[in-house]
Amino acid sequence: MEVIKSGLESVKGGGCPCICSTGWSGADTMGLETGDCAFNCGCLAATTQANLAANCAKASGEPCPVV
Amino acid sequence: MNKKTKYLVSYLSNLWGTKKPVAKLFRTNSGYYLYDTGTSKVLRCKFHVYELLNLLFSEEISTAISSFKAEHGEKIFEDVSADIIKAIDTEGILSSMGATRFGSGDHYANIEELVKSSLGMITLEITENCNLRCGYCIYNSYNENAREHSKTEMCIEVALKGIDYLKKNSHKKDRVAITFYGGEPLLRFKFIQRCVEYARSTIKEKKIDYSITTNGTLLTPEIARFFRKHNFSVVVSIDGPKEIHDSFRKDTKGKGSFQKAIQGLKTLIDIYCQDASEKISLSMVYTPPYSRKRLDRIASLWDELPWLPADLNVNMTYPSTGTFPYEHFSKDELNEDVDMRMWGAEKFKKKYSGVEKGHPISNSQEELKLAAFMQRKIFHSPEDRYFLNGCCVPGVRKLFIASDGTFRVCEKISFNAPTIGNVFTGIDLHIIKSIYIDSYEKLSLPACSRCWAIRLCHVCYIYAFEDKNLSLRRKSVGCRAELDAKERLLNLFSVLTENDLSGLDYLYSYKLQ
Repeated sequence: MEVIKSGLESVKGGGCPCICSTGWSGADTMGLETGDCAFNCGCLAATTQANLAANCAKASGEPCPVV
Repeated sequence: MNKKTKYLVSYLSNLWGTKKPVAKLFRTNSGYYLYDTGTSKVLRCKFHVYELLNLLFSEEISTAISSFKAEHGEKIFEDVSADIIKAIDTEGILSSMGATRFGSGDHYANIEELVKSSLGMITLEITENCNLRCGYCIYNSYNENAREHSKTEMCIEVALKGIDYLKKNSHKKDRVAITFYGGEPLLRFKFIQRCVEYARSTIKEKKIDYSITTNGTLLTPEIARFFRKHNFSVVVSIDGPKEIHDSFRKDTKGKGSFQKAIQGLKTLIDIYCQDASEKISLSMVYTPPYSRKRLDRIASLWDELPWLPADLNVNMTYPSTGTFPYEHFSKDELNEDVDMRMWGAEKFKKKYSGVEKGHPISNSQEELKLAAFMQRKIFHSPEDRYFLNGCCVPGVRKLFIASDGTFRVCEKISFNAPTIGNVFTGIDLHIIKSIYIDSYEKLSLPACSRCWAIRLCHVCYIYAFEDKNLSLRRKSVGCRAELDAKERLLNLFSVLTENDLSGLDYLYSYKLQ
């Protein structure tokens, strides 16, 4: 069985990788948008962990707690 | 039972207990696949793996293995068994027995703070009046879940209070949005100007994105220039070439509106110039008599109007449930030789394989769906966290302000659904928490917990209300359509990757609205 490449891998194996404490993760499911997350980090559009970290820090004003 | 059989039975029994994993097996003309709900991964399988999994999902484990071996023999069973165990161990698949909860509890602990700090958009219903009487309008007498057209208009105090509310409750956002909605909002252009002027003078520290949904018939160069100046996004409702558009989009005297609407659209596109494709989009409603011929005819609008940008964003839908007098059509006219979505997928496949250059309708529709799929979250191992289907967070991402100032979750939700506050007294968190979160979860979880599409689901509050109450019966209508749509999406995704495995990678950078 071979995984077909698609999807953005969760950094922590579940939950919004940018900051789970808010609970609002646009990244957790399609159908929700980044605006649903308190930090609006843009994780839905982020394709790499580096982007995630940069976006999270920018949006929250704090260093990304994950990456 | 030999050693290898015993091992697989023991392995799967330990993993699954008496349940079956939540997953979806599907196939294309040339491939066999598994979508695993726990991890949200898609895996391509060999035929025999597909066969054994199919048996394991429907029968008791040892019975399934016996049936498989009787059909395919011991050697194939051993290979397939090893393949499945390896995939479970390395990819974390086939290990979710279903959701035990939706993402409430801790996840909703911050809602009060979010509502007060992170509001992203308000939609102002500035008038209930409209200069058209479209045959499928949600605001018609066929629809028990919506108001009818009326002369009711939003007063300026309500609009300004709405803008104040947006400012006050968005301090964590660096940009906010204001949408003008109706009825036909351009019946009140001066009102829109006043709102924009007030928003600009009030919300100085943020970028404001404006948008409007219009039938286009009242668009003038003056209005288009105003929109351009303030960088409005404009959605214009056009159903297709004249005879198709005019069959449903008529004015109050029953006269077709195509000519005026197209004139308005042309004015807008001319004035937006190179920004037209980014800021202007079409909303098309696909109406009976349904047929491939009719879809092709709708698509020919771009041939008839060479000035229409080829990369225009288009959203084409069927008439909303409950709004349409289907009884006016014969069975033949409602039977589809090709479904609208299938038609779009076929066109997109041809574009993907280089046979055709693509069409704005199918490109918009299919790319959006595929991009959302490509950008979904996948997991190393099953995670028992699921969100409330595709529901937004009421009062956070957006807020619909009706003409009388009441707050609603959005413009598409049943008119009888509970309101969530008003511009005078503010948001009603109790209603949001008790109805839109707790009751919704309680209603949905039994049905959703073992649904293979739970991580891909777009069903939301729009589909959940019947009259004033949450209704599983009403929601199940949306669920069936959603399951069908997601099965098609998986199929489309798989067929495209059979053609070119990395050809969809560009969708990782597609901006989801």
